[in-house]
Amino acid sequence: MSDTNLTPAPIDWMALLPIIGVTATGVIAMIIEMIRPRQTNNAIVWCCLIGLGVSAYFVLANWSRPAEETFGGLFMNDRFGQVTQLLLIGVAFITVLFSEGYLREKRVPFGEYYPLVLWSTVGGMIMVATRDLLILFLGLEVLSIALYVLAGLKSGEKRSQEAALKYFLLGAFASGFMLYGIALIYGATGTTHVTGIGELYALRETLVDRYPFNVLYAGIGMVTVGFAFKAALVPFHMWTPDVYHGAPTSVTGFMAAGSKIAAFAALIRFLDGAMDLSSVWLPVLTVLAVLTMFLGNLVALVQRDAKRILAYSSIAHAGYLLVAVIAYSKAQGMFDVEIGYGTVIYYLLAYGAMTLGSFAVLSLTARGGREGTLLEDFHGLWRRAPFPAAMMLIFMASLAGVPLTGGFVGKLLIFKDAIAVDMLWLALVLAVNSVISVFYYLRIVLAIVVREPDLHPTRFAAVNPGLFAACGICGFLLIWIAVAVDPFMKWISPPEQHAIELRESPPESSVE
Amino acid sequence: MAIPVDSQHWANLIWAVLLLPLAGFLFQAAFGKKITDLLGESAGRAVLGFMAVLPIAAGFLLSVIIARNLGGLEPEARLFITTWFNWIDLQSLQVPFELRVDTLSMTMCLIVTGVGALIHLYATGYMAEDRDYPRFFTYMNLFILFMLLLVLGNNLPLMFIGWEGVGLCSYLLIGFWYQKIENAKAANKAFIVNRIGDWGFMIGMFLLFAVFAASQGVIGEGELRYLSFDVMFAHAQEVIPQFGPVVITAIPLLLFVGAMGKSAQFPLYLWLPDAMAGPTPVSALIHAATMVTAGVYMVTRCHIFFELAPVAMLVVACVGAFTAIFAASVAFGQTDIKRVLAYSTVSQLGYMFLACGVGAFSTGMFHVTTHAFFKALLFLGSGSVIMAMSHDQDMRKYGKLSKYLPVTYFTMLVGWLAIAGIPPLAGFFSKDEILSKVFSSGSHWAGQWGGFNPAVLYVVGLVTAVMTAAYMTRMFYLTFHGPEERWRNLPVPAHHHAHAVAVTGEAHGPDEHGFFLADEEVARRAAEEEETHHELGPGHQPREPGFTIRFPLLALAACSLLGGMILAGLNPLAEMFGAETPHFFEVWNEPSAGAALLPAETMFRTEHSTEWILVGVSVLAAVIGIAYMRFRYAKGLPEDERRLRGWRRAAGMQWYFDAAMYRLFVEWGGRFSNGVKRWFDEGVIDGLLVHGSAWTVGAFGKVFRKTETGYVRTYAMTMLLGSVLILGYFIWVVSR
Amino acid sequence: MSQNLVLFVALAVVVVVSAVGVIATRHVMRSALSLVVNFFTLGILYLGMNLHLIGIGQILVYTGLIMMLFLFCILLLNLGAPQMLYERSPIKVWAAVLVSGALIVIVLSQVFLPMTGAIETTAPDDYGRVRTVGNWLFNKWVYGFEISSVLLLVGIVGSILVAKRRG
Repeated sequence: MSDTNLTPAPIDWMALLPIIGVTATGVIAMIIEMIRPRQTNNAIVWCCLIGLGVSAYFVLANWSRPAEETFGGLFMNDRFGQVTQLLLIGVAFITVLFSEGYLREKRVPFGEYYPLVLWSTVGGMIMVATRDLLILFLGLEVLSIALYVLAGLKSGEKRSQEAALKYFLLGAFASGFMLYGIALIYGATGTTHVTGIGELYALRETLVDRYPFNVLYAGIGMVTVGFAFKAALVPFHMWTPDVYHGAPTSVTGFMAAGSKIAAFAALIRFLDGAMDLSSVWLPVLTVLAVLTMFLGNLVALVQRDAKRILAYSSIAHAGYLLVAVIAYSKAQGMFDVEIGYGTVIYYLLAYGAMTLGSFAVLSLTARGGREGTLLEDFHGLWRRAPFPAAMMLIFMASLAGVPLTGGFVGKLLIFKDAIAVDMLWLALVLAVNSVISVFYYLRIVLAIVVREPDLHPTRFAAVNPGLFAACGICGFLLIWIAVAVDPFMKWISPPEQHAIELRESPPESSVE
Repeated sequence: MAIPVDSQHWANLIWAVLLLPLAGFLFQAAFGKKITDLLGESAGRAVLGFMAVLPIAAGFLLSVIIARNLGGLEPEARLFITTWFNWIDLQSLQVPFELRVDTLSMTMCLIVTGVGALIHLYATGYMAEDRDYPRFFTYMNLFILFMLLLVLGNNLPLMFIGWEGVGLCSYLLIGFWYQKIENAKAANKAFIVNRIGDWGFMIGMFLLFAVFAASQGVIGEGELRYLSFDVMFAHAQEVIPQFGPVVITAIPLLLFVGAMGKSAQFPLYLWLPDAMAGPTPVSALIHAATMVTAGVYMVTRCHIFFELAPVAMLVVACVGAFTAIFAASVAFGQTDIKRVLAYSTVSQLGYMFLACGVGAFSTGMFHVTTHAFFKALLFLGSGSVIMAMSHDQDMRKYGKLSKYLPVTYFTMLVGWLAIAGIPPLAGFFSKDEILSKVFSSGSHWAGQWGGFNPAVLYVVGLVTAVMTAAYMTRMFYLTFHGPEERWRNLPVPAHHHAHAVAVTGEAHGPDEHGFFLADEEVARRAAEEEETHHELGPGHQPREPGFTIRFPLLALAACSLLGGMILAGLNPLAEMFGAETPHFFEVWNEPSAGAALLPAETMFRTEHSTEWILVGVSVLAAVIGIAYMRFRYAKGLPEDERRLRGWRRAAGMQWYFDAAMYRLFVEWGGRFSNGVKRWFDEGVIDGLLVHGSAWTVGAFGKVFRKTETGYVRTYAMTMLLGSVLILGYFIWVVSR
Repeated sequence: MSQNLVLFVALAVVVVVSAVGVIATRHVMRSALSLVVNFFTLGILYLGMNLHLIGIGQILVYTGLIMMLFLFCILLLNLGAPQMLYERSPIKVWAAVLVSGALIVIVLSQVFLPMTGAIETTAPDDYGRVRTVGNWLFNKWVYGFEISSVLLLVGIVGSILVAKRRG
């Protein structure tokens, strides 16, 4: 190492622009709040929408660049990262759109809310665009800390404060596991980059006899626990209902969609690195998936609160997603062609749209500082707000997996992937669960569309343009991706893989 | 065999048939309210009604053109597949958006658009007073769209979309008058029971999917489109047997579960009688003529899978026969005119499956067709009666209506004789053909079914024929004949809190799923209903409805009268005299619905003399049923009708089957899922692990309360436990 | 070598004991003081590993500044011991001890025991020097360094919001 001059590293500004854009938008939003401190300040909303739009444009500006790792392996600029970053920006965009009316009704100051949502998004974007565990952890913390605060934003509501505290304590607990796991992996491999795991494993023949692979196993196990917490997999799910229930509804929507997208994308990055060890963790993930699907769906059946139902439903959906991840990982060992890459992204998009949309509609019960989330509180919603109620039908249909919606096609794709990797039984578990789930989605539909309100017919907030647009966008997306499956898949697939796809024949049958 | 079609080909007209209802649906949905606002109520409704009938009628005309062109080709060439775009295109699977034009799909298409157009016309009159006029036609046009997608789609996913779509429309239309609690409940019931069927269909579809995906090498050309029917059917015979007897049998059985749900076969028939809560045109179109026959259509469409598995055929035949006789027996206990027709529909659907079960798929479709004529006619006629009788559906309050409703009377007469099986009406030909094929295929199936002789099925079918004739005669005579006009003896309607209370009393109240409304809500709705409800009374004067209602009745009566003779080409009669007149319908359907593997040429062959006897026996059965009931009911209302007792009371309650199902699934199902919550979240985690001993000393209630407040430390403990298990697995199980 | 090991083990024991002390004592003041000890000892451990910059930073920033703030706050607000946070059910306590014990046993016996003596490495000469750390920080890890600034930003804004609401 040379003594005197410290040469600064070359910085790939282009690749960083989306992250910088969103961060800066948050800062500007805070400055606007500083200049004009008002409870409701629409300039902040506009600033956020424009900033997110510009950041999305930055992502697209990177679109055609070849996949490469910059910053000495800390930043991964590839199609997967770009697509998931775009998803996260989209989630933030829709959250910003529909929160405005809700915050107004709940009397939450805009200046506190919007910057945190944006920075939380930044955390997610960092997570999905790296293959380095330490950076991943930093992103996770940015995402989480903003969410801890957001969950407790409803000042004066005990439920919200409780949710924030619970989320914080358990989140810290899970972060501890994750960090310890990363440390153990570093100890075993000498690097925090995920490819280090594979490299070490490739060298196992040449290593000394008593090389402690257990350190690596324990590290992977602990990191898995950290991911399982973020993705709300059983038995690390227990915070979900309480926190989703207690947090402000718009935050819940963002939390359910955004943090799950980030967690699953990062999980895939991690598992990709640890692919050589897939025989170790695949059974664990499989068990988690089955538990998650069943518990989420069965417990959702007996809930009476719409937000709790959706919380358990989001647990169940994490199970479905995990099946897709398992199929993706398993296929890596079996075929040369990638299976499941598109499925996971597709399902994340569908999941994000339907979850955000349904929480947006749920947020309509907030009025004058109060909010009811029991199923009874939604009776007669369709009279008061026919368009959101109609969109809610689409969201519920999609969550339940009714054909012609993104949710159905997504489940079909997961099913197909699971069969392709010879896990028919897991696919059947998924099918059975999706049938179970219909019942509780139907209850929400009934509450909104069929039942008549008994007492106060006008306790719903007025539909504001933001919420209208948010519901419309989500509903449209769900139908659109179901119709245009194929163009969408082509669009998100990495450029070089696309070329392979055209050349290669499909995998040969494995049954004969 | 499938001929790729260029864009100029006449088969592409089928897209117009499919898209016309879509246009109609969009028009009704977008402009329905606006047009009535703009043109005024009556003119707006006239325009809307016209715009609702037009796409369906135009679709019918186009279908006729396509069918004519198709009929002009050689039998082997009667199959076209037109693709619009590639709907799902993945590395190992392509699902194009493609339609199939063949004789089977065109048969259904003609029924759906033809009968559908007539019923739409009827509905413009029937629903004229309804405040949700545009909404009704929005749903109806949407239904036609999905039904056409179901019958025309050339692959399982498309068919499934149609399948779910018609289910959705059925749900919406049953609950069309959702203000009334029974209707909302009936809609839910239909939806939920259908989900069970859909579950079977889905699993069956996925199984097929798995089987074909694993055999791509075998398929060769078109291997990516392996979910399309032409690829599937061409390769079913070589692909499926590789997977052993379980899969061979499981595929058709699971598909049949789907058909049972949609076509209301025992035990999934439960929803259909309740579905009569919807408006009568809906009952006629969806729950008699088209949607409920989708199951028969699906079995016929996928007949090759069934033919591969004799056991599945046995199940289909037995379920069909049992449903036929079971539903027929239940019909005797009904007093609601539409419910009699509903059970008769279930029973007739049983006949259709019986035909499919013995391998006479084309005959099953023949019965679908004739049934669409006469059952739509009967429902529309009953709707006309119901309208004339102030929406009171209790047959015991009718009588001597022939005097007031001559057109309805005449058309219903045709329908009644047709369903009873009196020659030469439509029902006679199809029913007799089913019975004779069941009888004649006996020697073939006795070998396949391990000695089970289908003669038993024949006897069941024959008894059902007697019963059908009997209960239809009961309905007909109670409604139109008899010496007195019974509604004149009713008390003058007093104002009726009693009714509202009665409704409340019957309702189950909200169950733990919250599926049903609270009592106050029920009472409020019942009271609301009461205000707008006209009651039958001594002063009531029934009147024949207008032209838009009479025309469809007359058209369908003509079909019921002549349809059988024309479609059958008078063959069964002619053949008995030694003539070789081809059976028009069977020849037409041969390329798509003819048995692919079974020896159809030989298995149904019988002596002419036997044929004679069989015809004689089935005509005799019809005559016995009619004659007995005629003498019983012509004199007026028998004493035992006033209050049903004995076996008829049990039959009326579906032999208590419905109540048992309710108890089993709704009550116990709710308990089960509650139990899971308590058992796992609160029992295992908190009770067993944490409060193990506290639990034993009976502090369960306390524990329960505690978890509801949700202590962080409990959650942390669960997480910790999970981590220990995962780490333990990693370290001990893996590293060993 | 063994001398180093003895020193390390002694310090490590102090770290662990003081960490347990943070959560085990009922008095806020004592637990804050345990935290001071914990941070301080950690700093010494860093120094012992040649990580001068980080060791000094740890002692100055955490032990010096942050803990000082902590103690001030506690004294100013006069916080007592929160009674509600104690687990009264002995079964729960034992279950927690059991599961945590299992975790510790797994990690110790299966991860660390096999590791002893398996690999020995020596650090390069310039390991832990200020210049080296700076070079790493502004070259390879500059991205992570910047991200931590976002993390701190979120943390500051978040804590201000939480504090503001209480007041």
